[in-house]
Amino acid sequence: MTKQAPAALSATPARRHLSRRVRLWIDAFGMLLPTILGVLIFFLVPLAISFYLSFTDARLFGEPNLIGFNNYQRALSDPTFYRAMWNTAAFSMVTLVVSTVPALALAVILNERIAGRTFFRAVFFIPVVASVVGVTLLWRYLLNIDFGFVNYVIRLFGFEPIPWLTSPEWGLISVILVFSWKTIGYNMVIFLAGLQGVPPQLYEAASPDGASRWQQFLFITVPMLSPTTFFVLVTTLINCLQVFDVPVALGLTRSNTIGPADSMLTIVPLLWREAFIGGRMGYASALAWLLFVIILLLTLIQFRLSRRWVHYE
Amino acid sequence: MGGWGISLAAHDAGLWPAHPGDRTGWESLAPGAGCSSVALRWWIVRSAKIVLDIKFIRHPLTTGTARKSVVSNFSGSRNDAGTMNLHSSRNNNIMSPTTCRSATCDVAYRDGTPRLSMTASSGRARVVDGWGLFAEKGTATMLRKHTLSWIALMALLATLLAACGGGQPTTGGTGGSSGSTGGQQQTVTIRWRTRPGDAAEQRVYEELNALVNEKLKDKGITAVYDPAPNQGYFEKLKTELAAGNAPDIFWIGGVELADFVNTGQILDLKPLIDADSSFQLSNFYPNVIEQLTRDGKIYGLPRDISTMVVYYNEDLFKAAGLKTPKELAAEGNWNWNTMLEAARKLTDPANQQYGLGFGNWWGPAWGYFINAAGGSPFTPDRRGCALNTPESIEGAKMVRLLYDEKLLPAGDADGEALFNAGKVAMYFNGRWFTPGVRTNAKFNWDVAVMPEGKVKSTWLFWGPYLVNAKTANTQAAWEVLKVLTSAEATAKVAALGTNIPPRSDKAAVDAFLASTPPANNQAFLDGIPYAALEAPVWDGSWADFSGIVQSLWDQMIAGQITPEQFGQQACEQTTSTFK
Repeated sequence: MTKQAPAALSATPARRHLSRRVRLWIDAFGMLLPTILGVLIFFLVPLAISFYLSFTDARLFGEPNLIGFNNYQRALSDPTFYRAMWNTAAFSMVTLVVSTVPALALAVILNERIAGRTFFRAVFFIPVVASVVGVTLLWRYLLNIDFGFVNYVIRLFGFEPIPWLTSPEWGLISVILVFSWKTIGYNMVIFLAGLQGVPPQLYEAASPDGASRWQQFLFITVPMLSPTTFFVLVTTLINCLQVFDVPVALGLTRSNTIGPADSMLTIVPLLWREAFIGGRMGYASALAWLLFVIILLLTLIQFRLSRRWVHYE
Repeated sequence: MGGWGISLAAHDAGLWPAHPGDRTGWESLAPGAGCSSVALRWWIVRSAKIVLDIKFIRHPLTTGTARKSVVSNFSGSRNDAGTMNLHSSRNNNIMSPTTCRSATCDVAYRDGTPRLSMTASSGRARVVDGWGLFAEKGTATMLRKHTLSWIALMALLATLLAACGGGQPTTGGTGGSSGSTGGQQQTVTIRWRTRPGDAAEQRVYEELNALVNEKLKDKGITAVYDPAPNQGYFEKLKTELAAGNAPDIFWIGGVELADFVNTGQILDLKPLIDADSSFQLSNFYPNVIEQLTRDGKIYGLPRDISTMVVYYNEDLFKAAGLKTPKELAAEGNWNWNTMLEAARKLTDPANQQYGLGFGNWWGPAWGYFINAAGGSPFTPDRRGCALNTPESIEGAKMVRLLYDEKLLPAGDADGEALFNAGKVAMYFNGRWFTPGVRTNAKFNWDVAVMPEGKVKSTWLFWGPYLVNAKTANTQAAWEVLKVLTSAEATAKVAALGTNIPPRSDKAAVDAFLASTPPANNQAFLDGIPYAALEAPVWDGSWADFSGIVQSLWDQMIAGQITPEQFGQQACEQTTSTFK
């Protein structure tokens, strides 16, 4: 159509069209600008700086010098880094199970029409809302070997008290306990939302066919929840790998070790210690980028694996 | 159901194709799909076309062939009653290729009556053999998948901010010292900081601030007290120093000194001290001033000191018919042997009572015990580790013995609460423990000097006020510092019970001794001459050193390594922490 029209006639609508597009673009960009600036200043620029710093010997004070890959080499030959990596891996693997399976069970129970379910939903969600440091300090009392309530109960049953916070063997288990306790409520709410999206017709159709409750759970609930489960697994894993506040609030000592014999030391507390206690900003930045690569790889693997078991409707 | 409303709304908004024509199936219905929820969904368009879109989902675990054969093929047809029948019959193939593409089975249906959807969706759709699970298919899936990826990526990127996020300068207070030139009189503002442990301590420092302002009013100096919380105190301070908005005067712990001085953050006070005839440096304890001196320069003045003493529960000693540490000390018989004897007699596992207690950290644990055994964590020049000497290892062995015999509670701060509850007979701690005992202890208690090991020893804490090297008005900062460390001011802080004045002039000492209980305040002062001082590691990093040693020490007291291994490994692993 435009090919046939004379040039003089088509020029005006075209320009008007263009200027309207430009105006639209300006409007849109103007509205996005605060967000873009925020992301730029508080996210992308620090990100770029930290990437640069990871190749320098930057300390808290003074000018940084470029030192190539030294920081990365140092991390890969640092036993403390490996200890933190191992702790993080062990912590994440256990927590991934301990904070999702009970969450799903709770969600299924609290999705039923039982008396007081709103109350219980709120109860299980409270740990999520509560301040991490506050409740972790409470846990320090609960888990105390001499006067902690948990050990009081253990003693009642005639067992030896467990040195939750005072032995190198139990340190990480305590972190798993407290972290999972906080995370279960959150995962439960996500599962609940997913459960409410499962159409009741499926259960209605399945029960005349003779499916038991357990079979319904296994063949309807679990597959229908798979996107939710996937989301929960991805976010929980990332949160596990980045865990900071629980081990620090639970185990930080005056010597800045995390738990007895550094048994609660995971990768982000190590990063923090290197940056703010040791003052090695460059090295800490390199640790951060190593962690980034690890999380990226694990998340990509999760996405790849998810094709086998996650069903999007 | 979501599908209805959204599709209709899309139509009303003109976004929906007015005449879908021959476009059937789910592809043409994509615009509404983004907002849909998980359900069997019915799409309604202007032409009243209804499309039932069904996807078979197999459970992921049922991948075996036996299960596959259970899945029925599936087709839809309309019956005369206006409802939809879905037929299935057993088939060894997954789906019948005539009605389904891959795992997606589309059943398109046209009708003018919307009620159709409700009847068909309410459970009449049956699969005869085995499990048929339905869900709609549409672009919603894709969108959700992308959203998820973005959430994951964002959460991921947030990690990186852990490195630099904490580094964002915390703005707060006034930026440095500001000399505001008024019309007639020039006033200088000096901002200073401590780390009060509680509200009572903060009130004392606020009173101190008023004292400074009263004294320096004539000189046109205004002091502003800017306390910072315990948690993150040093992160905040260091970040502010790097950003150039730190206070003019601030308190730190003695061991932190080298970190601050080596990076050029701290003002040398020597010229100011020399120029000020009204100031007597000899009023301060010389061994503390020595630690603040480096290459003839003096970096700061001590705010307070504290030696370690034995807090003991007099009632428990009396009940067991034992001499108290104070009595033993008076006899000159207060040493590791008598301590061990008392600790064993006063330990009662059945009653959860311990004879001894101390925090598991450098001061009362490896600092005191290794020094009292005649060893030291450091070589005399403090440029190397000496934890592997026989004397140092003796100290470690002593502590291992105490833990092995379960004479003390494990953990760091637990013992404090247990002592206050009357469950620990002797507890090693500094002066800062006194206010808590005063408030909580429901028994008679007192303090005594630390028991003698191979040599007399205790551990001495101190913390200086430092002057920021970037302060705009050094003279004004000096005037404020002088008042803060004066006998009057330190006596005021000492009266609170938390600190010992850093100076030996009578006014300050008397104020301290008068702050009772404990009756035997003198025990704190007795240890000063022979105490091992917390000291900066000028040619290395105290933070790195103490972290490595503490970690190995924990393994040692847990029985994972021997005291000898502790000494050896500590010195091997800390080599890199010295320059």
